[in-house]
Amino acid sequence: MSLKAMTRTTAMVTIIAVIVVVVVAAIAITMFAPKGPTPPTAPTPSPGPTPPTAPTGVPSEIRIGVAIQLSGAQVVEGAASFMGMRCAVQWFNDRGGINIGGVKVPIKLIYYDCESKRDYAVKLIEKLITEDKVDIVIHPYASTFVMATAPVTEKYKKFSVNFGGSSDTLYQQGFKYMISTHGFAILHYWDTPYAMIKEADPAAKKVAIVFKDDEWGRSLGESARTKAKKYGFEIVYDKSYPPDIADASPMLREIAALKPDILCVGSHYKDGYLIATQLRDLRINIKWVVMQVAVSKPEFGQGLGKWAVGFIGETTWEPECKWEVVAAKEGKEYYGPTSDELVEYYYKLGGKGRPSAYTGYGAVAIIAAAKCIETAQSLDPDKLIAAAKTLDFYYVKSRFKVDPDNPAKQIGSINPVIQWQRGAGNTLVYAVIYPSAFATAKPIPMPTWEEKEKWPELILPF
Amino acid sequence: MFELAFQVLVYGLIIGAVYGLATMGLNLIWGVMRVVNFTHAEFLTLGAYTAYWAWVLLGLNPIASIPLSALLGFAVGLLVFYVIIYKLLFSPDIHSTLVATFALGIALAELMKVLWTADYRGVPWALGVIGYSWFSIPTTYVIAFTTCVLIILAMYLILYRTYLGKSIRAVIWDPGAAAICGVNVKRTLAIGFALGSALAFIGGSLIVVYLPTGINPYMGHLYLLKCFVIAVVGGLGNPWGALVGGLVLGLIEQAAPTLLGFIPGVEPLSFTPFIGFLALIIVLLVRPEGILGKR
Repeated sequence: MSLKAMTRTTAMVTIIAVIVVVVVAAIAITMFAPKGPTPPTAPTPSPGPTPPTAPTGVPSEIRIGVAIQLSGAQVVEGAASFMGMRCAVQWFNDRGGINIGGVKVPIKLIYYDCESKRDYAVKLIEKLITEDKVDIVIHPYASTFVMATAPVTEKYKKFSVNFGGSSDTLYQQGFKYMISTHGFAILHYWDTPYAMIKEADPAAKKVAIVFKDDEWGRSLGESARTKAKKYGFEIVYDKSYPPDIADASPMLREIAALKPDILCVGSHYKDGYLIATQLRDLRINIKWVVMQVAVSKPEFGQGLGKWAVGFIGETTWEPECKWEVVAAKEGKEYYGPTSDELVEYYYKLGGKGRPSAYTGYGAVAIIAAAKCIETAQSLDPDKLIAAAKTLDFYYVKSRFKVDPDNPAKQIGSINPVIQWQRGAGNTLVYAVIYPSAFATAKPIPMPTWEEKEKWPELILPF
Repeated sequence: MFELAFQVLVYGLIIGAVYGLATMGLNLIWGVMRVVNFTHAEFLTLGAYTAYWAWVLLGLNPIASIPLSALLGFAVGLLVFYVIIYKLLFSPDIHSTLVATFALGIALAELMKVLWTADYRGVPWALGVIGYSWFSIPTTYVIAFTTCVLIILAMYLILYRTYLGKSIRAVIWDPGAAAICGVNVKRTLAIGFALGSALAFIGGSLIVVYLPTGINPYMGHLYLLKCFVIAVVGGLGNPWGALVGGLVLGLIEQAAPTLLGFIPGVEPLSFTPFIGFLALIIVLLVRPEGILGKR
């Protein structure tokens, strides 16, 4: 064998060896890696209650169709929301279904995985309407998806529910057959945290506002600004940051120099978490730090441990939320399962760990649709939308009330406020602090970083 | 004002050193074989994932994971060089390596997404802060900076005190003359590419220290743009130019938001990348070869 051939052979052997090492390493890492959220298993078509013989004009079942993210980038939100829908459907069906003309009509949930792709979601929604002949459509999670799918339901004049789109542009499109159950960024955010701080610390005056420079962040920024003025706070800093931010320290140092009492952060998870860690690393002490989205995720507490204590966030639903108490206090109607019942069904249907806010999102899509059907006593889209305009009731995720002139605009939603706190026995506690009707703890100002440094590591709650 | 300026300077130098190290590999590869390695972004990402998995599976902090990251980067670099780069290096179409590394980058990013999903991940490594009343800095930043300096020193020793380093520099200056002098050009090219890849992996592992969450298959692109700015500002093909360019960009990123904050109606952080690219344009106009580039 020539020297050249030998060199080539050696080179080939080296290449093959390296390929083997890299592939084996990747497979090993994948095998040992913690698994991502498992998409829910398909609901077993249980025999359920036998549909009663329906009187004339009453359907034998109510067909609700949903195209949702059960895989792909938004599987976490999609799968958890879908679980909420399944829980609510099961809750109604266990009670015979929805009352139409004195007959309990069961719900049939027809669903497809849109794989977190908007174009595919659009096709699936059309398929649900034209081939599966559903009576009601539930849009996928997230505003960008609803913006794409709502024109389809409007084209077919099909009654639909937006449960997970919170961009204010959604209700500015003139959709006539869509109702929204979700609170909107400009309309609903910051009210409750500001009210809570005003109550807990009347001396707090100066507010610094930072927000991500994307549609969601800008809406939160605008809302924080408007509501700060409404509550009489003085805005000392009001700037955006780029969506791909990797270092917030220059911005945070400027804010620290202004010594605000409140820091409002309009963020998603990644940037919110970055800002929280950099506040810690730079030892910037601010009494009240309210951060949207990031703080209400379990990963926030799991990642930061004791350093998470004091951070405040708004949420849309938590298992501790007892809106039936608020409804009773206000003498208003409460409709559908309570939070305790929803949690019970969540575990009954195979849910693992603590149910997230998305479970509540999904559940209310079904509950709101059911209430519209019961009120309209019909599945006719025009009658359903007319019924929706008249409704004002509490359910598992606060209050349902749409703008009578614009049913796509939810105006009743109330966001509870949560805070990470240090509990007894050095535990990290995820506490609901507002509204006081079902708060599990009182709000506390953020302990200083120097204080937290002296604490032992806290036992994680979830 | 002094306090703010001092903080800007310290943080600018610290982040700038990591940027410099992350770019050094890109510059080395360009210097040795005139290849714009678009896979650099994915190499950085793989380095970040190496640090993440070393933390999750072996309990190693990002600094302790650097030897592993370097070895893996070196091996991947050798593989890519022999399987792709060398075959295209002398192709009549000068764009072939550019397109190949671009395509490989996309393939690697998608492979990472399949293997590890697109979820954001992070290493919650914290060791308290080193501080004096108005000034504090996380201990992990200081350790990362020190490591960076040590790796840069090691690179200096390799490039200037070893036969291998001298061969690499000889190939950078004149591959033909180097071959006449007995340098095995192919092997030097392979090692140069592998060394560049290892530096990218190490850079990715070090970035993890500054990025509490955000490791994902596409994170490298954010840094690739910065690396290009740094490489051109510092001087293409010169590994030390990368360090100088990194420090310049680090200081710009820290100082610009504070200075821009004085201009009404300007969003300081959103405007900062513009300042970075403005610096690039100015350098290209005034000194096209970069600060340390040869004329």
